[in-house]
Amino acid sequence: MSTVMVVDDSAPVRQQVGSALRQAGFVVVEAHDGQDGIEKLGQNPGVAMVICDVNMPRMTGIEFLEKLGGRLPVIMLTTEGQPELKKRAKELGAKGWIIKPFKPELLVQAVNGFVRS
Amino acid sequence: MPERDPIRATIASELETCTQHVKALIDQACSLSEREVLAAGDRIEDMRREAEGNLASLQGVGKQFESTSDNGRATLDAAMRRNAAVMTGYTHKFGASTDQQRACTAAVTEVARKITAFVAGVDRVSTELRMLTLNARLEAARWGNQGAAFATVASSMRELTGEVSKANEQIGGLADELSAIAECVASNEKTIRDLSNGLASDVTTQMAELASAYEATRRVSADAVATGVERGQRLVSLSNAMLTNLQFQDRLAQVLREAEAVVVRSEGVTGELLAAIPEGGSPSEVQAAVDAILARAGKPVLRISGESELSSSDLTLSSGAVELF
Repeated sequence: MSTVMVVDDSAPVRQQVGSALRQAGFVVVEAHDGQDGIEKLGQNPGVAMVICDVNMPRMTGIEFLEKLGGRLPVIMLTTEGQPELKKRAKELGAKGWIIKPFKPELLVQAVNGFVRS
Repeated sequence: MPERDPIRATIASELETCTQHVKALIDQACSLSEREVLAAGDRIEDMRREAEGNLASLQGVGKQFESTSDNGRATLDAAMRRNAAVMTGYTHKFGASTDQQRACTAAVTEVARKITAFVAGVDRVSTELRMLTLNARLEAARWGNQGAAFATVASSMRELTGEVSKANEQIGGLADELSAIAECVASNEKTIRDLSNGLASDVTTQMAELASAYEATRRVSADAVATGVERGQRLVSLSNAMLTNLQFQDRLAQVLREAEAVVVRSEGVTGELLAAIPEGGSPSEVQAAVDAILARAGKPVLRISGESELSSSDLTLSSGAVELF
């Protein structure tokens, strides 16, 4: 089973995303902001990809992408839709952008695509 | 109306998704809020009842303490007054006794003085008798044998005079002793009076210190009870404030339900939107139709970007769709 990390400061969002992914057979690791995400990646080397929010305390999603340096595929899950943010995320290695609220089946479909590849 | 137009179909689909998600979120928030409000309300109500009970109990204890300390203070004051009266009585009695003793001492001193004066008088008489005896012996010697009887009388007189002198000396010694005793008694009387005054002063001081300590203890206890009552009242006020806060939360749940009703109404608006958007129109025509409708309704304008062909990912309102880079 593949492991996916969910990085979001909202517990309900982490719960919803985690539930959709677990139902699809993924192991889910949760982090409550970018800083926590970086630390949890160090503790969980088997993470295959990341679903990450943009606006978070301590370390934003954009800063998380900078720290990650493109090591893993990341899909941003956010309420933001500004083209400049999307462009910046793309430049930092993000592979996709989802505007909340999300459709679980589309999210799972995208994750499956990245994990299998 | 069959949704053959992809744009209309996409809008309908996206708005339906958005509506369902908002409803789901509102349901979650309301359920969570209602559950938490009910549970917290029960806990706070229990806490408030307990706080009110504790407060009433503490106020009762405070009243009992006040009554007990008032009685205690009254008892202590009465004891102090009785003690002062007793000490005063003893002081007066002792004063009377020492006055009597002084009078007796003075009388003894006077008697000693009189005895001394009497002894002095007897000494003078004795001296004169010795002179007379000497003269009688001289006359007896001048008269020779005819004066022998006279000489015998003079000799007896001389012996008697000597005994009188001795007795007088003894009396004088006794008078001196009497005077010394009177002085000793006077000195002791002064010492006893000083001791008695000191005792009365010490007892009065100790009683005053006892009363002061009692008063300090009473003040500390009264302050403790007052503080406890005040804190109890604050706890009750806090419980009431928390219950008020829960009512606000309850009101929040009502607001969420009203928001849900707004969402339902907005579904009707989207139906109007879908009906008004021209079928098969160009992006600019569709945009113009949407702008006009929403401008009339006073809502933010949706922007539909894209060039020749539109995909669902180009719609900024496309919540849920995954845009892959």
